[in-house]
Amino acid sequence: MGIDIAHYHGWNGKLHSPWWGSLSIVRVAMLQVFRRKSYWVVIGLGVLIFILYWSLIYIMTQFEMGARTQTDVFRIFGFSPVPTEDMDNGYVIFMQRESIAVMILLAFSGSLLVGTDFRMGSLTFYLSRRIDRVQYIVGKLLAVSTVVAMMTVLPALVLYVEYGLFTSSTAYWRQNWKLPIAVLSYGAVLCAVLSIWLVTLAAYLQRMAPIAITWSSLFVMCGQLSTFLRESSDNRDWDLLDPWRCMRLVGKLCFGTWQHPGEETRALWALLLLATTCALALAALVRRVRAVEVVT
Amino acid sequence: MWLTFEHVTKFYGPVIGVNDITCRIGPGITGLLGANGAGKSTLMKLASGQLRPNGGEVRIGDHRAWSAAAKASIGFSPDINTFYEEMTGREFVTSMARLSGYPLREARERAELALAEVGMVDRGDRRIGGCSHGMRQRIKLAQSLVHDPPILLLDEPMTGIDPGGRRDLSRLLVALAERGKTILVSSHLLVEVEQLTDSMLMIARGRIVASGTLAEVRGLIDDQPFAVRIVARPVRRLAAQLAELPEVLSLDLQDDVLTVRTLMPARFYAALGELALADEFEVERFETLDVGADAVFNYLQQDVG
Repeated sequence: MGIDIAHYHGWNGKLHSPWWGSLSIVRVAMLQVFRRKSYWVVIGLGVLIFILYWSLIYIMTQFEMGARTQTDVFRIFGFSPVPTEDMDNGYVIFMQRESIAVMILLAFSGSLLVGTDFRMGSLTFYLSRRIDRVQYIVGKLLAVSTVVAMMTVLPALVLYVEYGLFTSSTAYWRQNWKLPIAVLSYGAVLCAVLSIWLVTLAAYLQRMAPIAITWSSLFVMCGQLSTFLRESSDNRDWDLLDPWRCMRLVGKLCFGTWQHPGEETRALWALLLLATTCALALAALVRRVRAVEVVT
Repeated sequence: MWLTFEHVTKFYGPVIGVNDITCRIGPGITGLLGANGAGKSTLMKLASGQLRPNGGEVRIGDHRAWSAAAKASIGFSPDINTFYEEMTGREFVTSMARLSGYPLREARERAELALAEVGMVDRGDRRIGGCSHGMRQRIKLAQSLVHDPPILLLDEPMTGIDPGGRRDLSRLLVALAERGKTILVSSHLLVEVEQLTDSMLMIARGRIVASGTLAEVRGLIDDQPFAVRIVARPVRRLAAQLAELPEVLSLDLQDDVLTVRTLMPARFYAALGELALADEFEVERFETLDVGADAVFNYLQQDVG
């Protein structure tokens, strides 16, 4: 096969800022995740949960039934289109259900998205370009955040829009305008915390098995331990041991609805806890990516 | 554009990666030779701004190697074989062009040009995971060329490429050098670099042990014997006479082939010529064994060791 000695033309346009490079990193990450067939099993799980809720809303709004029946059916599925008596936001609960699929997907994709950059040395492709390590880290965090948002925030907002559309008036949206804000705030916390934790974990552990085991342990074991301690001591402060509950509490800080006494204080503690762990993780991540440690 | 190392030293904890390296590399192809672990990749990473030296300075033109301006002037092809298996070669090269700051349309055009240069246009839509080693090398080379940098840093670019592919890539690199690009090609095999260029940097244990053309480098070695293989008749009588020469260090006769080692090749050649004429030896074959690049390299490594 011959090689064509092509000649490049000069470039008179203005090159994008290196920060645009972070978006390229996101694009590359999305191509990697959504091309891997095995990941579609997990993505499919998330889609199934979404379809279940979408169908539920469709059936409940399109078929004649009493308000009480409607509420009962929604309750069976742990969903409510309006805040319940104890101020539960059905869309946030839906996002928690989706988080299971997100957790599994991230456990398996962490190695692909970040670990291989360190293990195989492909980080050199990025760092030999115009971007530096800050832009690289931002790109990777955005990539993980995009996966999280696509599987939680986006479908939750679609359900909110769907319910409003099927009620044939704008009253639902007008009366419940705070619901999407809660979705967005909880989503922002999910994206920030999960991306920082995962990227740091993957940068250090690199291989799929250790990442998946550690990641699952973090969420499942801590969650179980938190539930056990809370129920045995009847003390809700143990909720702070559960990463999901911590994120939920911090999400509520943005939304401002409290269900249990002392929840606001716990939310502030959860914020402190998550902020501290994220700051530590970010420091560790910057240290890992720092040029002197790039050598494979 | 020039790539300059000024007293560059790099430590990895207590281990020294490169040690007080000073050199200047200009337009054309320069071979960087060294055994595995000699410091080639460290030097490449220092040049591509991924590592900062503990001492000294690396400059790309007028810029420090780790600055964004310097990185825009280099194309780096690392010595890795597994990368972004899910993407196609075309997507990967386009993404790298976008990382260099080009808008999508321009990035796509440049990716096509780069793929054309490495002969991968027709296979650009194949997933990297399904590409052969040689195709991956071409894709890596394409991503290093995509922004048309004046300096190319190619870490072991010939590894895994078939002979036809090597010839193609050699032709491409020579053509790029003729366009005024500065190309630094690392390899642990001298034969690969010998085919590309006569200009070499030899590195061992983190130090530049020799630089210049192969002949110049060989000339630097004044304490290593030259081996000369002689097929002549009558070989035993010739051996006996050569043994008396002060220039000869040792003789080895096997299967009527005489191998002579000498520290003074010029004087030995003159003496051999006189003997052959005076005593009417019939010299059928006469060859020096260790002016090849591998021999030079081995000598230099032993010297450093």
